[in-house]
Amino acid sequence: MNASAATRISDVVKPWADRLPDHKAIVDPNGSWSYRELVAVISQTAEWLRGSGVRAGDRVMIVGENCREFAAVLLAVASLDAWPVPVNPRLSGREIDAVRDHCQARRVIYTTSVSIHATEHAKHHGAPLEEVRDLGRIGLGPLNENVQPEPIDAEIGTRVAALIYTSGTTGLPKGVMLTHDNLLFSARGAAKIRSLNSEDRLYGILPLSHIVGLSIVFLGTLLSGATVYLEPRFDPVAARVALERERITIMLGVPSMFSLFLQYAKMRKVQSFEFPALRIISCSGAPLPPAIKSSVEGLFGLPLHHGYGITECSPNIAQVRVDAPPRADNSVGPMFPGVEAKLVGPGGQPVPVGEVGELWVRGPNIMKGYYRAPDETAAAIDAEGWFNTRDLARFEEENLFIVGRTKDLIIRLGFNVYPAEVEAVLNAHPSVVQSAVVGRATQEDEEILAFVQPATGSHLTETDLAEYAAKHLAPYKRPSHILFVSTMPMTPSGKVAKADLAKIADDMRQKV
Amino acid sequence: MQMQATEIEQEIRNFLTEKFLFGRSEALSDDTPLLGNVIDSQGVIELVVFVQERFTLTVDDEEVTTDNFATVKSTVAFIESKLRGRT
Repeated sequence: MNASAATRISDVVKPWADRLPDHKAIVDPNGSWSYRELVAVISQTAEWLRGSGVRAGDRVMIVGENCREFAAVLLAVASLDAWPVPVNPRLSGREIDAVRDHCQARRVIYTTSVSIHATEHAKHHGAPLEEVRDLGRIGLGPLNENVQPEPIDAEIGTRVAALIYTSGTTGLPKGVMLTHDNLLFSARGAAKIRSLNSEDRLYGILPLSHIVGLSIVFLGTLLSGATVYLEPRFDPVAARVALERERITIMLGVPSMFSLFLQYAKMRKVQSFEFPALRIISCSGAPLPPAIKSSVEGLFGLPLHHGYGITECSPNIAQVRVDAPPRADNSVGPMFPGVEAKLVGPGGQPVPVGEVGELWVRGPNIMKGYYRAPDETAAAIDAEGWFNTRDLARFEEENLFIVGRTKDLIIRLGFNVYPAEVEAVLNAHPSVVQSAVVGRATQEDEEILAFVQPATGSHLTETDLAEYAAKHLAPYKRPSHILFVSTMPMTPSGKVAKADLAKIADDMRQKV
Repeated sequence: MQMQATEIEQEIRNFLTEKFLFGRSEALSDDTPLLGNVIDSQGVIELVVFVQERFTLTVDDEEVTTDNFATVKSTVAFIESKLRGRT
């Protein structure tokens, strides 16, 4: 079998165990596994899981941060045709309980070696830590005897390979069922776009519980015979050291990570980084302000490639091509190969070329559905297989621009205001780390609230920023109120938690 | 004049409590894990800046490890050793 013929996500490592058995597959802060070792660990872990009562079709929650044992358990669960449910331990106990109850987990497994939070959750849930061969101390939650395994599809590729719970930035968490075909389509396409090969070393900083960390970084690495350096959490100091010491060739991150590199450079008075091995930096997951993009590119001496995707699409929808001329704007690039797009207006009609519409996509990347939520699945995917991203977008020739979300639209004085646009303006201020704009209903209208995180040590005032905004925005787009915050509430996947901000804005109604 | 360990500890505690714990000093024991727990991604930079400026010393990137900054206790020990090396 070669990696491109693998049908389960756990199969992608097998060809490399034959071809490059001693080549490092996964490195983490506590050690490394070669491809030969990884195949053996997956097999032994699968036996341990089977012995722990896990059956094909069972859901198995894995609570932990990036490390080898998290990766091994995930692949071992998939190899049994059970469903891995990777969960970020930064979630609260209540949120983890909600996922466990919704997915009806047969077992909950806690990988604790690099995660204080996973250890705490294991303790809270009464999961004793036991020594498991090759994995170290693992928390094994009690066997749930009352759950039924899901039926197994005849086709391996359409079986569920991962159940990822996503909060988006609004609403309740939903379990996204992604198949082996979904994940491998995305991983293969992304690897091809970046010409990944066995000499590559990827910085695995995005969580394995996050779709980009799982499919593009982790599976993309393994099916290419490359090496992934898993890190449980991001900090710019450790990242700088790792990029240099491990001669990382590719780093994918979210915009806030790259913003922190800029702060690091300011602290160290560094004008430019020296990472001779680094060949690609890429970011997705949130809007990328052009000013940040430009500064990051100056610091790294590389173009910062922008991409766009969402969990339900495994996640790739669009990606700036590595070999395309560098762009100064924040386009997310052309459509991902094999994925179709259409933009529609409020009535469902196609929008004229160049205008903003709601983005619908179709292709082998589209999820199987939301778990135990047929109505929500039907609302998201139409009869022809088109998935509604609920993002607002426009094309300039073949390049896609994301300009907001359907649910993230503020209508003020009869005009449409896209928060992403206001945020882009505020974020371009040199003393702003990041901002998030939400709407708040008034008696006759809707007003705009901007939550702003100023840079450490800056002397920026709300009045300064309001004046700045007035220079760059039409009056109806200007924030009604600017509120400084020391940190921005984030979802576990690293996006600004706008639902939390909207609630804060509502609670503050008496004050501002 | 050399700072005492207790003074260093108090400075570190005050900084962490005000910056990351909303003034809740009771949330910070000697052994509370710092990196990846109390201190977030941006907080690492703020901690390094604070230690460098307050104690007038240089903290290299390679020294910003989970060992040196694991807890208040280890942070104080790290600063003490840096201060001793300076004299």
